[in-house]
Amino acid sequence: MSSSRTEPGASTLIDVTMPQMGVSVAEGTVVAWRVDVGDPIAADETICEISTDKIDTEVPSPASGVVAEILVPIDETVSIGTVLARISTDADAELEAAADEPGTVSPDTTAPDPTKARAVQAEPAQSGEPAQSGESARSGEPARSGDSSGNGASAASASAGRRYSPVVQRIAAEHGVDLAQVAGTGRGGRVRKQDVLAFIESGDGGATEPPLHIESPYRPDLVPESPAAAAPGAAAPAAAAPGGALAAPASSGGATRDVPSTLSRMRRQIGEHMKRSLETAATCTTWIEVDMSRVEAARARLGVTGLAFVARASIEALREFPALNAWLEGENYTLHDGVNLGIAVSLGEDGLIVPVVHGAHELSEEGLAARIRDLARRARARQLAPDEVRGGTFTITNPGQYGSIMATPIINQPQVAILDFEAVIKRPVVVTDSEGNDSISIRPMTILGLSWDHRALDGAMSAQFLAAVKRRLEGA
Amino acid sequence: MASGRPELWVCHLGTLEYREALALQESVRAARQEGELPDVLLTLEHWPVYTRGRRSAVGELPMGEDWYRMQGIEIVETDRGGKVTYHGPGQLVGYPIVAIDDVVAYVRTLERALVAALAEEGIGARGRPEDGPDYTGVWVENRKIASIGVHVARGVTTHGFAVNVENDLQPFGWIVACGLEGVQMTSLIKETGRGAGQMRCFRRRAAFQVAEALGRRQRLVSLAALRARAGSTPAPAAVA
Repeated sequence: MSSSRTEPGASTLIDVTMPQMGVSVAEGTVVAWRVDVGDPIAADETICEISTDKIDTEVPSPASGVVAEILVPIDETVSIGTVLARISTDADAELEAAADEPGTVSPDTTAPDPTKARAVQAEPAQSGEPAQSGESARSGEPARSGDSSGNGASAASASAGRRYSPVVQRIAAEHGVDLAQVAGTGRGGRVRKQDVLAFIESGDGGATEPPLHIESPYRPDLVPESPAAAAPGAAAPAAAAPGGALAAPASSGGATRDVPSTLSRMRRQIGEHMKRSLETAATCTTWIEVDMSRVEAARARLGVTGLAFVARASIEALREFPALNAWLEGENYTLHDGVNLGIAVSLGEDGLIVPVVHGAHELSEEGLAARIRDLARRARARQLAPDEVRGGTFTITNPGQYGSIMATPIINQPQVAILDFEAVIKRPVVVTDSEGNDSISIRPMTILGLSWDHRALDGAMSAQFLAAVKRRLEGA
Repeated sequence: MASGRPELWVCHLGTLEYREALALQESVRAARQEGELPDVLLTLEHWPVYTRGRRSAVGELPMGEDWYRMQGIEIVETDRGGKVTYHGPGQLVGYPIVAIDDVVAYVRTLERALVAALAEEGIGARGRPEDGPDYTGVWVENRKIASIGVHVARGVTTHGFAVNVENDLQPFGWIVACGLEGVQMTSLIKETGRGAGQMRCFRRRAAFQVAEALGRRQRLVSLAALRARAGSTPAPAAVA
């Protein structure tokens, strides 16, 4: 699958070609390059990945050496046999090649004309010349190889104002290399990855171990960062954890259209429960607007969802207004001390379920977030224990992911109130500063809706409760 | 007659986190590449997870990651090709880790095996190679029942197939699956009208048919046996 050719004064170039992946396969698409031009590569190490019919295949390098050219960019589809890249043979061969007279053609030239029709040059300035590392620089040759032994004799090593790729900077940082000391062999003397590696290996950088793992193609740290910005058209090598695609399916199916079918058992149960609640309770809904600026900032910091904050604020407000943390069964009204917080979890087309975070008043935002996540996950997996959906004293529902802003939730009997948390949306709002001056500001706002049972409490209580939640969320 | 065939070791793993299963696949693959193991088929289910491939677009998870996590669905970045997809309990996942030389023929083989296994359940399913790569997988009429995605490294496959047996199909509706607009997902129980509890039986049918289609003799092995052969294979953190 590879052939070789040589160029005057250069080491042997090995072609990496699109392999034959099956008898019926005529072409393949490059999906990732694991290397960049100038990177060292070992034989059989994965150089790129190609895809056909949703199968991703790793292409091994046919030889050890340095990546001289990348000819096919990501997402391009080419036919079998197309040259994908060229490998310049390894440092020993380079030394031998360098010992030859410039212009000598080495004997193993077979040089089939590579399919250049779709070829792109990853680094135009290199024009197919092998990127080299090691000490093969010879004076009089074009400045294709910097003096990587670190003796500073290279041309074009204008160190002032040079810019470095992220990869180069990271390697330099890891090894404590002063990049100003490194001669660059890239276009305009740009320091490339192999320059800094060679500098380190030469001992001038004080490195004690080689920074790259080339013994295994499966080391994800081989090319950890994308130098794509530094080499337009070159691949953005991704981390090397391999994987394959399970195809992405689209929307789920619903019931067959136009044909009546029976509701599922869960749907019927939900319907009965909701209807009974509306028939039982004197349901009334109150809304309040909340500025979520503080929550948005804090949740990013803690890495938890907004729901955890609303839950925590509600729990604190319930402790202040225990009349809402209660059950009303007939004429029996039971106030609860602790909060068992129900969280409505969608089960998709099957319906929804309300797992309960028992002892929620003892949990922080992070703790609540973790418990909610765990319960939701087990709810979806249909693995909740019966006790985990019982005993709730207050419920929060949070369907705002579709962008809806208000709802009138139905109370989860025998509880007396349910809080609805919808989308957080940026809005222009009037804000007043400490001196009483008004201005218009853009704030992430949400509307909390509380449905409450007028048999158990009155509007003033529900409004005070909402104000208490708002106060906590806004951090006043 | 069967004794002359090479073996396919079939190992059922229960329900695993995606990352654990990926690590296990990689160690089995390493052992397969070294010839320490014969061909292997891992069968398992995943905890709810969206896996996002290298070519996934930002808009494929439109609800925002927090919301999906709140629904109990983890999001895992993988370095595979392809786009976002969903795995969850009730979906049979099969990871054949086998040496192959023709990748397309291999995918057609997997499709054939799954069609045969579904036929035993009374479902008339088919592959659609004539419709192009986007239709890789197994279909019942125009409804997709199984997805296939394969990765090949040094001639050895990882990843494989996912058949919707009795899983919740809703999470497929929460992602934007580019290139497959309007495709409806279906499942074994949806097609047959049977209740849950089909997994055990279907898993065995599928494993048998995969072995048949690959021309292998099935041998059921434990994870411990697999690990004993693959010397350095690390144990998954938990196997349910």
